[in-house]
Amino acid sequence: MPEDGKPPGFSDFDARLAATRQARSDKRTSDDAAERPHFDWGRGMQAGIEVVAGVAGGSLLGWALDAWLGTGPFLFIGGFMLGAAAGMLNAFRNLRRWMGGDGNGPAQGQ
Amino acid sequence: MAGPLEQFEIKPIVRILIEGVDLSFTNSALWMVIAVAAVYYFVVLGTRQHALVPGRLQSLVELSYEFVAGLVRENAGKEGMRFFPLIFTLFMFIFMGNMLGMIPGSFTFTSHIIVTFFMALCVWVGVTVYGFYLHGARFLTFFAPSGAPVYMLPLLVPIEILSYCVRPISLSVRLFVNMMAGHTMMKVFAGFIIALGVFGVAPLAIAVALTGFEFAVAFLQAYVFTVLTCLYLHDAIHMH
Repeated sequence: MPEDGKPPGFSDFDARLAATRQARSDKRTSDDAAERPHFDWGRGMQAGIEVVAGVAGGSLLGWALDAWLGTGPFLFIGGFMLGAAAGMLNAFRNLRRWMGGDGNGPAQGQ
Repeated sequence: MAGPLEQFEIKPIVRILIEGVDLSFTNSALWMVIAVAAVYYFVVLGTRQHALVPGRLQSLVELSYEFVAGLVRENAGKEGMRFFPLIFTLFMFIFMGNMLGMIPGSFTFTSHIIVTFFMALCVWVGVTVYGFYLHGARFLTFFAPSGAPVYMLPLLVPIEILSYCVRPISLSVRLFVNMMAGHTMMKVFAGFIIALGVFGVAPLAIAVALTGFEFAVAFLQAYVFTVLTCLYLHDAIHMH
């Protein structure tokens, strides 16, 4: 039982707790940023899949609508183009997000 | 010798035919059951002791919990924690499926597009329904990019809607392509080892490297699927 070094009182307990929590949360966010896995090869692969999925999805939708409504190849062509645009948009947003932006507009702090 | 694609073949174990509909219990279903059982016993056994200082198994369970909880909080926000049980289940199921697929002779059910597509479709439908439940018809404004001139909307809105609708496709294709391509590649290189005789050392080295790479992909694809689920949830909750 150290008489001099007796456990610190509870008067400043809240302050010390807050300080410790602050320090821990600071540490945690910096750790997270460093630990987040990033594979450049994987990023490129993902963007490619987004574009392909967009084109395939749009074309398929247009083709199905064509077959249903009997409107010739026009909805298929339109679906292909819109799908390509949608795929590009998805790929763009994905890459922006991985690079630290929010997916709308230029990335900040890069 | 078995071809590189034979490992993906679905074989019925118990034949069940009901009114001409094939409901057989297949090797794919068997490995799904094994994955569910493995995750269940992993979590139940790991948390059984409630130790303040966790043992090895409990540490692993706590690690997975913290990892997924961190993902949900970071990518979907605090409100997304309501869906933590679903996302944790999804992550553990995919992760366990990918890892079980690394056992030689086992079956990787995540290498089948129908499995991944159904999971992605459930996520997509659920997220969309939740978006409409939270915001009502206002959720439709999600498809009109803010700040765009009005005369551009007839072009932009279909693109936005389509880009939203192809999400389950890209989500499922990503997981399926990565698992299938990796396993096929491993099998192709493994097939060269005996055929090349002494020079089989080279494909053996590649197969060893690919095995390590596949473990990384197995984790990474489960991670990516989970992160994207959280991001879609974020879109439904915050609408931007």
